[in-house]
Amino acid sequence: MTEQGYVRPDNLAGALDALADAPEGTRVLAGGTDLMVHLRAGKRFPRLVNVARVSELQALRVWGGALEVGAGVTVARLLRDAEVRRHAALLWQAADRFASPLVRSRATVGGNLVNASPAADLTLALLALDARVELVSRAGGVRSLGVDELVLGPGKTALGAGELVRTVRVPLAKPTAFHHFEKSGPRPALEISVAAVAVALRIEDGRVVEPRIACGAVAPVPLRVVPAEQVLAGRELTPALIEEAALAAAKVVRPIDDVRATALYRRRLVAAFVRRSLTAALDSQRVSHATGS
Amino acid sequence: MPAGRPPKTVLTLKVNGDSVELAVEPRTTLLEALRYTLRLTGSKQGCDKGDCGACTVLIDGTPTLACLTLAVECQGRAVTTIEGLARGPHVHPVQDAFDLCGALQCGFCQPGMMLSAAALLEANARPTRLQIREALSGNLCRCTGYKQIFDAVEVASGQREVAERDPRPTTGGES
Ligand SMILES: Cc1cc2nc3c(=O)[nH]c(=O)nc-3n(C[C@H](O)[C@H](O)[C@H](O)COP(=O)(O)OP(=O)(O)OC[C@H]3O[C@@H](n4cnc5c(N)ncnc54)[C@H](O)[C@@H]3O)c2cc1C
Ligand code: FES
Ligand code: FES
Repeated sequence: MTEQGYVRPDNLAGALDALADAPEGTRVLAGGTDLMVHLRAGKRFPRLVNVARVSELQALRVWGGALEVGAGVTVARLLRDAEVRRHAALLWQAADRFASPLVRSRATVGGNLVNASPAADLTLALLALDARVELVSRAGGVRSLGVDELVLGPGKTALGAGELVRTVRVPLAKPTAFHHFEKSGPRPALEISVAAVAVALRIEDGRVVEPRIACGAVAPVPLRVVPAEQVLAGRELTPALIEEAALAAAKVVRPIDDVRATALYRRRLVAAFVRRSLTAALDSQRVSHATGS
Repeated sequence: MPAGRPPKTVLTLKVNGDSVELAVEPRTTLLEALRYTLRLTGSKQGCDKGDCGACTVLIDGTPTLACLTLAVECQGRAVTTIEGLARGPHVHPVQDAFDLCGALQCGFCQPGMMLSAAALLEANARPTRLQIREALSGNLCRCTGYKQIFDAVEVASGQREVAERDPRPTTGGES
């Protein structure tokens, strides 16, 4: 089908061509679980470029010291993949808390990033994992951005005209890594998060190394809580330190009141989730000591 | 082309085993095409934004929200709606079990619920209660409290006996 309003290219070159000379407001259509909702709400897109058949967006493999995740990989596929679970447990956990199977079978990694919701769960995990997002366009070639450089505000990204997300590269977890994802609400989740926290850190020689804590749905973008990370870096994890980090995190987030929760409640959730995540890290350390591993 | 209307595209879909040709506008959803062009109104238009699962159909066997799917995306694909779940004169085991268990009240959630259940049993003939809950978690029911629905899937998979046909289902609490 090649009529004006909808194209379904068979490969990346075709997709880039369809985006290159496209009218303003053209969008990539991946799983449609966000875009179709916008469409039903009355938004109009002069052209949709359906990338479902673009095989270059379907990569999912360990490659060059990173887990390479194609933009078109669905949440359902992340969940089925042993490499994801092993090398990027945080991403797997975020997928495990993501919507219902009806949405998971369609929703993609690229769509989650570019929709740029403050509550986007995969984006949150990718931010905590220090992932790099690779963008490609006909005119500009390839460039790579951090998640915080890509996602600029609700629905707002650094994606240029004619550009699409090709892959995301996630550094492989070291054996000393600890990953933990917390999200409000029941599981399976039927709603977007009221608050979510993604934690990635390492414990080496009894000390916390390179902690990254990202909070979702409590700021205009998924937000790293750097002051809380600084509390932890280089220190030994203790209940007192955990408390200090939890309070630091709650202090820097900027939640709002809305129909789903008050700002105060969200702030408390952040503290509770950081506390819970770090306590799990402490427990995992005790277990590994007890078993001598 | 009439002024203001986008040109239509002609699609071929395999709906409930039959090849059908239909002309749709580029932004028509699969749900709209099924209900308003093909007059297959079994698939329900609940929220029309992905939340309720009432529009669930099978596309090449995978449960899919028809309200979030463009009709043009389905060119050449096999779509099963509730109208096609029965096998000829025989109701599908899931349909029979839902009836036996009184797993419905108003019925609005049922087409989607039964298609999700049928797809689950196709992939996993003896699912656990947890797997059943998980598989049906995108299909909301405001009436039954879910217990009879999960029971019915167990009955359909031969893991539960039905004592007798219950003419008046009660509302239970299992969500
Ligand atoms: C009922 C329901 C429950 C949900 N639950 C959750 C949840 O628990 N957690 C969560 O995080 N989200 C949730 N969502 C939101 C949504 O499912 C996710 O954001 C999903 O990852 C979007 O992916 P998609 O492939 O469907 O994107 P689409 O809707 O196809 O696209 C979204 C946006 O990204 C752009 N885009 C897509 N791919 C690319 C690409 N490769 N390059 C450039 N631009 C691209 C599109 O143009 C569009 O602007 C839910 C949605 C629904 C309807
Ligand atoms: S009508 Fe499609 S999910 Fe509600
Ligand atoms: S029977 Fe009424 S919604 Fe399920």
